[in-house]
Amino acid sequence: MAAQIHFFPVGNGDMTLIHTEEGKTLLIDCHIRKAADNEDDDMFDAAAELRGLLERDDDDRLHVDAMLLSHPDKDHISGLQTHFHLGDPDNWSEDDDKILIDQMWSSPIIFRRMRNGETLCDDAKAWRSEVKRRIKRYEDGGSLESAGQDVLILGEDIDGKTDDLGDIVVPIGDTISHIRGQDAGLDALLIGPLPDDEVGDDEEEKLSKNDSSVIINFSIHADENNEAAKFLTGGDAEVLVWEQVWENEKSDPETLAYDILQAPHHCSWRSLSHESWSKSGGTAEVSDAAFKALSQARENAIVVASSKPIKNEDGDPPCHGAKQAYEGIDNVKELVCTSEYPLEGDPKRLTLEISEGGTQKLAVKSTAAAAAGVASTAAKSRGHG
Amino acid sequence: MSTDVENINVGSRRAILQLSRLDAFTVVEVMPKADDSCIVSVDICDLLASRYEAAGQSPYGVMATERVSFFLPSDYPLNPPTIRLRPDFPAQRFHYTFGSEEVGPMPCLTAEPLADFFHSQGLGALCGQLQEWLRKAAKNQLANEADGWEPNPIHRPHFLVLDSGNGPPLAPVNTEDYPKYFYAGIQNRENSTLSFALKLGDAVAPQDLSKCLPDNIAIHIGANERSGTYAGVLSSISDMSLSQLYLLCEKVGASQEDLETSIASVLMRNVGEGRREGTAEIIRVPIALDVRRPFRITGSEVDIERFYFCLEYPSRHSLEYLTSRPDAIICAFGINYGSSNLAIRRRLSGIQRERRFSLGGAGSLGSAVGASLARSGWTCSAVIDPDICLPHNTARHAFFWDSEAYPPKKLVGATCLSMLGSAPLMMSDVVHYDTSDLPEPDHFVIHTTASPIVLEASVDGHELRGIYHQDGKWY
Repeated sequence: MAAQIHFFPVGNGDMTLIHTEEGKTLLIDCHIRKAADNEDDDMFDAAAELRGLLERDDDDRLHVDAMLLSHPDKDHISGLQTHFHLGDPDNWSEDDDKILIDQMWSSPIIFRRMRNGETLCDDAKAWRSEVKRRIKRYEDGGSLESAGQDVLILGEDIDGKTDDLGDIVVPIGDTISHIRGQDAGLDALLIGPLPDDEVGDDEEEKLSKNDSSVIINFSIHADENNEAAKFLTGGDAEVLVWEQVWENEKSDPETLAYDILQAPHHCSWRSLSHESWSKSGGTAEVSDAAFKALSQARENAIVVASSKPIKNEDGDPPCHGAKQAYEGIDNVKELVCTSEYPLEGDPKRLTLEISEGGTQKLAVKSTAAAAAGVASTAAKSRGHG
Repeated sequence: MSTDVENINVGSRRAILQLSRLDAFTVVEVMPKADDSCIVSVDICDLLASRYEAAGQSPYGVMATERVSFFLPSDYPLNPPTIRLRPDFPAQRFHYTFGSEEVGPMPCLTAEPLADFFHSQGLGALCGQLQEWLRKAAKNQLANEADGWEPNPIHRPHFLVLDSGNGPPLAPVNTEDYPKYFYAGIQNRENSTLSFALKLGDAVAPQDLSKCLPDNIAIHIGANERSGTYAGVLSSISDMSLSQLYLLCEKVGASQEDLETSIASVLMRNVGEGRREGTAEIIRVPIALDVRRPFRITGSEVDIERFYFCLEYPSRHSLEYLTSRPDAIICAFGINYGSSNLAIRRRLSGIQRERRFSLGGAGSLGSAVGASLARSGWTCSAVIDPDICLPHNTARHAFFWDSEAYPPKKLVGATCLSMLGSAPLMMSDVVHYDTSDLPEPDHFVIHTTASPIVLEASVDGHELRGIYHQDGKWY
């Protein structure tokens, strides 16, 4: 099947599934809220949608080939324990039928850096425990080849903490092209989290979880084109990080080129500027370097704001000013807010299909749109005659 | 938008309003007709992937914004709109019905009859199908192997369909009257130089036709006095009958032979209930097509594959009628179904890009079958037919427009070529091969003619002659 990227409308939170041409699935973050698990609540059922997109392995377990946690905030990891199997895969239960994570992509840096007062939610702790279990197993000589045991460590930690982990450590600047030894159908260029000495002088900023977010520029393969689409995502990384990213990459800005940009931190102004949008009365200035890092758009690029509906109000995130800034980037065709797609109040999964011709939104039918008679597409496409 | 909406009937007005509200659709012109029908021109955008859109069109000729015409009939919405693309829309190999220089082609939007889809899903859904069709056309992805959307189902029963106005070919095969030396000669080919030719056998009397048929059953479709009866018979066998049989056999785990017997019984049960020609306008004819590889020539196993089709077949053969109703000619274009059940059709479907076929007979059946296969991606290697289109035949021919006395092989060949691009294609009364052409496991010779395909072979300079037959022998 064609490569696709699915953005789930989960409010201010990230949940993105890459489905490659090679049939591999990579989930970036999850934000499955309790209300979405309630059948009586009409909140978008992200878990059901995700399960519908995944396949079962040879042991009839629903699985993702890999899952990346950008950083351990609640809006990026909610629902992990409820919907994903953690622990030895031999203990997977048919009755629970949870999703198996074949390979975890995790950074130690995102757990080490925390501002004073920042805590980890239970799901984040569970993620960290599972990563540690897999690393321990690896250190004890266990094979990572079986599904549900594998782990990749993104970025080398300080003080030689990751030096003994050998092949499972991916240094910043390296590219991941395989998942558990098989062609992933994508090349994931690891840009962040930035090493401590690059983050800045401000000790408090160094300890921010947001600023430790994993930043990856994915090159998605399609139709024998290994750069059919480039997808830049950086969790909740804020302006300081993007400024440094630009400093690092400005000699080769193609590193940051994208067809799809996930607007950092749910379209927050704080990823573009050092100033507060609300306090400035809308006059805050955009950081030139951060903006450059986030504006290497290829033709007709799409910016996705994984956020609540973006209102012309003072709130942040999402921020109306940030939306305007992204829409003003040369080559950006549109900004799509996941909570407003296709209509606010009745959001659907945003799916971008990737082909040799670039990216294209797959049409969806909104229930509300159908009632209004404004949707053009069938709920599910049917065969042509 | 240029409109004169007040003079348009209520149904069409509602359709125009609905079209104007659709995402990516812009109504640009409404042209009311005297007969209370109207033509609505619509621009559809958001069709191309990002890089193609930046270039203004896709490499396959689909523009960033396509203008499409909706012909709303006077009795809309009792009847669905006819949707046409611009006349110069690039020819597609799949899901596409040809237009002309003046009238744009029609995208084949639905697997089921358009009216069924329209009445069950509505105009919005039909427009969604159209938008998706255009998006796929832009990426040359109208044929989707994974989904099996191409509607040529493949299965393995035993029927042979001949385009014939001649009598029931159910007589026992008499093998004694035909020479056997051809087969023997081929068998000795190892140290020989072999060449052979396929051509339609004009030397075989119609009554001997049965000698060329499989012994199960044969269905005749034709235009002579008796063909109306047969056509009527076939029209009474619904598509659903076949799908029910598929389901039944699948449920009970019936063998292939059971399936064939069941279908045969359905077909034969209806023999006496057919209508005379002229009482039905368009007959949807479920048929099974027997195609076989010319393997026997090389001494390998005879390999037969069967294809269920459902051809929309016009029973009329009145030239006057057809020239006054050009749409009837369009309807004559073959439309295939194996089943009305999508799941079954997907299971049965397959894309056959690598397969080649040589068509023995380019008449009413051959033209429809040839076009259907070509649209499925088969490469047409040869069209064998020595005939010309005569007035009483033209009405039944899928590609007859104003080509009386024009060789039908050229009509079929040109159509296949337009779908297949630059693929080499022979259009001839006889096609010559030599042993270097064989074996070609994906090359099929398809009988769509009353006349058997005759093989003429030359081994070591000795001329040999034979008639293709299925039972492991050449006669």
